[in-house]
Amino acid sequence: MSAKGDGMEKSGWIIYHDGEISDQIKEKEIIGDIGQKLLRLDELKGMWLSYSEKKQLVLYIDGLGWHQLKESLSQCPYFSSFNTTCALSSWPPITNTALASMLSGVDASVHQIKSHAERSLKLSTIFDEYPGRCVYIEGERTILHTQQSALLNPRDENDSDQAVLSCMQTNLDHDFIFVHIHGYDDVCHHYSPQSRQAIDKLIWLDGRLSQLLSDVKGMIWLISDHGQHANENKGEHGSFCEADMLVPIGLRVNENE
Amino acid sequence: MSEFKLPEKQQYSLLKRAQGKAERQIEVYGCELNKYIGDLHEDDQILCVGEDGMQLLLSGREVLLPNHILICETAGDYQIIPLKDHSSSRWLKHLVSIEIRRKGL
Repeated sequence: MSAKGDGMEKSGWIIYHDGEISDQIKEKEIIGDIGQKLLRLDELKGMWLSYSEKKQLVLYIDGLGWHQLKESLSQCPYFSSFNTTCALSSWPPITNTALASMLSGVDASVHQIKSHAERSLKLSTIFDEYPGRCVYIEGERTILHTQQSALLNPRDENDSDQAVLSCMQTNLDHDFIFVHIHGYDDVCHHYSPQSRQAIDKLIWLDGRLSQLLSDVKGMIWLISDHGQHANENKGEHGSFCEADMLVPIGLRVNENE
Repeated sequence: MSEFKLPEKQQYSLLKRAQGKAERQIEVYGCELNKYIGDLHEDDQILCVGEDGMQLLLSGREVLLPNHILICETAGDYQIIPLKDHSSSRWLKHLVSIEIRRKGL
């Protein structure tokens, strides 16, 4: 049985998937600008493991949809320097589910994290399998229970990113550095993803990361968990629509490691 | 279930907007977290842990802001509520412990 996501179809994209929009999206065919199979977030773990002889830094910008990034790229020279492709978020497109897919390398039908209330990831993660020193840097709260404890970083009044980026800077000597950056998602929720505030936040991140990482050698990934769509001047996600479901996966290799 | 003795408990009206649902007004009863803790410095960190092991790490600077972070109670169940968080993504439910981390201690 095939079904179509209305939001996708309206904007010229059609993703055929097995069954209703529920547990598992297994795309069979995609018609649109890209004309190729989309990467999925659960494929990232295998990619990271396959490059484990190199130093890798993962910049995980929460809430950054594919279109949101594309529309801001002309103002974001650092993010423009990544070789970026469009990928498919998890179903549902929420942080818990997507993060579980990235870390475990399987989709929600296997890891069973399908809502904000489900947080116990009982599978082996990238941190368990990576053959080197790993660090997992989070914002102010744990998102999932994993064997690898996340380094938590309290926000400074309303800004959650300063402390996270400082923590990243002090942990750049690790082999695999996974950094979850929340501030952009917060701004999108509050003002909507198309707002001036959201664009400014992305431009700020672009400049700050460019400064902090100018000397870092190895592979730097730019990823996200889900996008957002506007609703009454706010931003939200969790729907089967293009804005929520399409996310960037970018890679930049700094040579002379 | 842990018990926290809250001073000067009062009612707060909040707007709550759960994912995919319309915004609604709710009433909670509690007090500001800084009043519950008492001796709190700007450089402190406050680690709040939920029954399921989830952790929320707050800065003393944020907790000291007036009318900002609440500790609330309903029928013996406690939660940490940042007042400005309209989507309730920062709420920590079923609170079991609060630990103050102070530099030099």
